[in-house]
Amino acid sequence: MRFNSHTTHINRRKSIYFINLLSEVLSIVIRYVGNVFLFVLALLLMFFFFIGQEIVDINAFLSSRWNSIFVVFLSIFLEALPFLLVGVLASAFIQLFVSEEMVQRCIPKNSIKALFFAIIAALVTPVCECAIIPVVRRLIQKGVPLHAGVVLLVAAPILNFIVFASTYYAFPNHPALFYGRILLCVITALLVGLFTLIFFNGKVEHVIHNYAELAHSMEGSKTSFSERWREFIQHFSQDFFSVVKYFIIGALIASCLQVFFNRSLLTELGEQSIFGTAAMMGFSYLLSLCSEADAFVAATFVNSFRPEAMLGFLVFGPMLDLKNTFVLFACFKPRFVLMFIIVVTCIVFSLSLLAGVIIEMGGL
Amino acid sequence: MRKYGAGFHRKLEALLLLASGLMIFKLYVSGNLSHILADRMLPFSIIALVLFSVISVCLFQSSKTHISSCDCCGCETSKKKQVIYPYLLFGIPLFLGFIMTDFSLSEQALANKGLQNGAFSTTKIEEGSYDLEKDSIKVTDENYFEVFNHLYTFLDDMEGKQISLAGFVYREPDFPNNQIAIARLTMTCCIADANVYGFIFRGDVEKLKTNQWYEVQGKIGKETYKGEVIPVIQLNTFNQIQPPKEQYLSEYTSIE
Repeated sequence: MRFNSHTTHINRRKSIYFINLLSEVLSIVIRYVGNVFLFVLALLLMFFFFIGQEIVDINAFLSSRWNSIFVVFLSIFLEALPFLLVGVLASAFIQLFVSEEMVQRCIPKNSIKALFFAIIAALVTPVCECAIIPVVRRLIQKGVPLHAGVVLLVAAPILNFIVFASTYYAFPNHPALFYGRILLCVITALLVGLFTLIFFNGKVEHVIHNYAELAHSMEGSKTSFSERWREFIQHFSQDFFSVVKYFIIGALIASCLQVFFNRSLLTELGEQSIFGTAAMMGFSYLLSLCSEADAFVAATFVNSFRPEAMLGFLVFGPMLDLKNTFVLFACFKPRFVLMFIIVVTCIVFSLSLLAGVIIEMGGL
Repeated sequence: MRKYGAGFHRKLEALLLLASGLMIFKLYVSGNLSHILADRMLPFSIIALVLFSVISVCLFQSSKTHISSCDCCGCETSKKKQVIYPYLLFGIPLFLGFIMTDFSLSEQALANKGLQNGAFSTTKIEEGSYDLEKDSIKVTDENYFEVFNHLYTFLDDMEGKQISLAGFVYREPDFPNNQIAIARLTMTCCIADANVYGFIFRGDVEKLKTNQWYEVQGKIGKETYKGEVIPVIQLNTFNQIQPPKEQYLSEYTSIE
């Protein structure tokens, strides 16, 4: 084909016109695509809500083993969901209704005093490990000293009365484990707090994403209630979904391990002090149980494991576990999370061994 | 950000929150929720259900007016490119919650948990409650742990008595052909912390199918197993039953 310059020019103009028109049409379509997509999704939801189990026969393409994995996954997810919800609600509440001055007034200026203050705060906060992470992140953004926040993060899951009660009931014949769990938790929290004080003092920007921008979020806050309410609800939903997506990954992996891991393999390590403790700590990390329930699972091992291994399980599990690690990575910078994991692991491991020696000598 | 129209992500989130509320509702009404969560956790789920519905409606309302301040306050997501696929992850539990019908653990999963052996440590042992002195003992949900502990601690007194109980058939790979356990599961918070408790039965047990519920009756004996003396019940009669409504025992209520 031959083109002279004139027709090329017209063609180019035409094509530009076309592209403009097309992009115009596309932008209109795209604007509605969102709504259409949502509408279809809502229909699907209704569909699944009423006849979900009839249209998809899950047993046809799932082996019983995978079915068990999904049962465990769903159960971990549903168990933690209310607590995640409350944690994120509290965090959104703190974000909008607690000012930095209020925080400054409440927290003691002295760093060491602040550590002990955080221990008391952990005792009165009735939340377990899922709920505490977003709250602590928000508190640190609001000006709570980093080390106090970390103490709260470590201690809050164990230092509450429901956990005390379940531990007491699970080990009525082993008071050493009951007192040891509480004591080790407090000591670990204080040591981790001190460590953070020394190595991360005043470097909050190394710990939290976007710290510089977040610090000023209260400026220009609006007084109108409806405006604040809207902000609260949108903050909540953004936070909730950013935490939940990591939680789901963690819960999926944990549920696979729950089903595939043979617990009798562990008991062979029961007599060894160091390997037994390490194995039980790893086990509690992978199981990702709620801190309120793990004492009863631990009780099944009490006859075959040494006390230091039991303490390792009871103290380490609530502080760190698989599902939590993902949530931690969602909330804090990777470097800090890695440091946190290493420090907590080392401290709990050495303290458990030490406690084992003391119990052996009849100290408790 | 405005690619899909104003507040698209908020609307999508509102829909997903509503969906989780509906999922909890469906599981609760069909009674399946109590198969995977302990009774004491159910009120929390109901609270979550209410909160999800309320928040979903509020979020949908507020999504029509996008908050301007959100651009400066540095919400985690506003800086990055907004994508939909993280929400797909949230779809996994929703999808499962809507379509799953069988909420029991498979036999392999249970065998990996292992059978509880030795006395359950939580109850203080009281000697000779009235029921236990009779020549035939009927095990119910209420006295399950009492009988279980008594059997392990005062085995000599219990030997030769008749015992009848209900439970599901549990087998481990290394069980001999003539051995099963008639077991029950306990649950403290959710099915992830379930423990298996069971009485060892011997006899002509090959006809009993794993994971099926039976009502069994037998005579208590004892045996030495791995250096420990354990109670072993000689199977007399059995008949298959439907799983009871309350499948799980609670280690908590056994204390109170």
